[in-house]
Amino acid sequence: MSGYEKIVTFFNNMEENHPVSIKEIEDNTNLSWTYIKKVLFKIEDNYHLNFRKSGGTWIIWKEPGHLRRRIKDSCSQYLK
Amino acid sequence: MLKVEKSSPDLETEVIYNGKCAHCGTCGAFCHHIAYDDVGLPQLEFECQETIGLCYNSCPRTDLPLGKMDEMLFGQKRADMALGFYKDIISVKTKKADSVLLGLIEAAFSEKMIDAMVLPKDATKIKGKNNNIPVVVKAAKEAKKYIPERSLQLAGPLVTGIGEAWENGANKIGFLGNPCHLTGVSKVMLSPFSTGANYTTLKIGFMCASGGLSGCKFCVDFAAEHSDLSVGTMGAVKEETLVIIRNKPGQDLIDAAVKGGQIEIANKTPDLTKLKELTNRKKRKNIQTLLGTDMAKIHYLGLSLEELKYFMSE
Repeated sequence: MSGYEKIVTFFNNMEENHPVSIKEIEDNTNLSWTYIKKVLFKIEDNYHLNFRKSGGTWIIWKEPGHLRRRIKDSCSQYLK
Repeated sequence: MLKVEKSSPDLETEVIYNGKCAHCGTCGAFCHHIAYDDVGLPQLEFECQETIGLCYNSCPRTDLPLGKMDEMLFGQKRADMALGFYKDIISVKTKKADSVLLGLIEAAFSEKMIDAMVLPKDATKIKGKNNNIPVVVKAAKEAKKYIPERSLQLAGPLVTGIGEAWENGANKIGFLGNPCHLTGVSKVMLSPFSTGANYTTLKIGFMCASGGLSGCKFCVDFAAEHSDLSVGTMGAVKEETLVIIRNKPGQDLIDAAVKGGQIEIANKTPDLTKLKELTNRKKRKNIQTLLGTDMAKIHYLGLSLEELKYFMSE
């Protein structure tokens, strides 16, 4: 698993409305703090994550329903 | 039918939580993300991203241009404003309460018009609320215990049974439902979506004054106008059932059932006065509801001024 995938996986498994600091992600993924911050900046828009500096710490959190689940078996498969 | 760029969130706003839902089951028949609660009301699992949703486009409470549907289903517009397009109306002897419907289903199976039939099953005992769920039978003898006697016994998300039958390999599906169900199925068949509804080879409609739901007050169809055959005892003389034959599959089934002795014709030209009175009463009352609630809602029927005047006249 690449570093990028590790961060995305961590983010997908995160609890909703539960902010975490970059340090926590660092501990979980064994990736460097700067790399994590760089990736979070990159995926901020696509993943609709909340990424803010609070005091001296960068924190991220996700809200309920922040991502619409992509349905593979929706009715568009039947569209002629 | 035209594709409307709306999907499940619009269905929730305009129909489900607007008191207009008929609990027919069309929206969830071919979508795995719509379930039905204890009373048969659709529940969306989560917000869908589709711009053109089958759920919205097939709902009998969204766009329903009656004239256009007649043309697409039967090749021409209705001559009879009350009963919809039909080829013939006969009355059939009712030996027992379930004999006519059972006879027709037996004939459909024996003539191989269908290889599965969707019927209602009372789910009151299962779910504790007044609701019916679909059951798919593969032979006429299995059908007997599910033949309804009143339209209330058909209220519930029965159209999901077509999706179930299709997923289980049936390709000649028969369906029995109230007018709302038949409108839903017909809308799916006429839609740009290719689904199991296209394998529906027989649509039997049960004439309905009301299914007993809040959404029923927006329904202007008494005679199951989008079926192949409509069946009902309301408006018929005692011990007879009125059958409206709308197209060739309907006529073929009647011919086969008469030939096979499953049904017996009582009158080839029955008196339709009472039936038309009941039909017009429902149309007039519910068009008034549509007009009274929200003038915009009446537009979904696509009626001309003359047609509207006809329905509103005493």
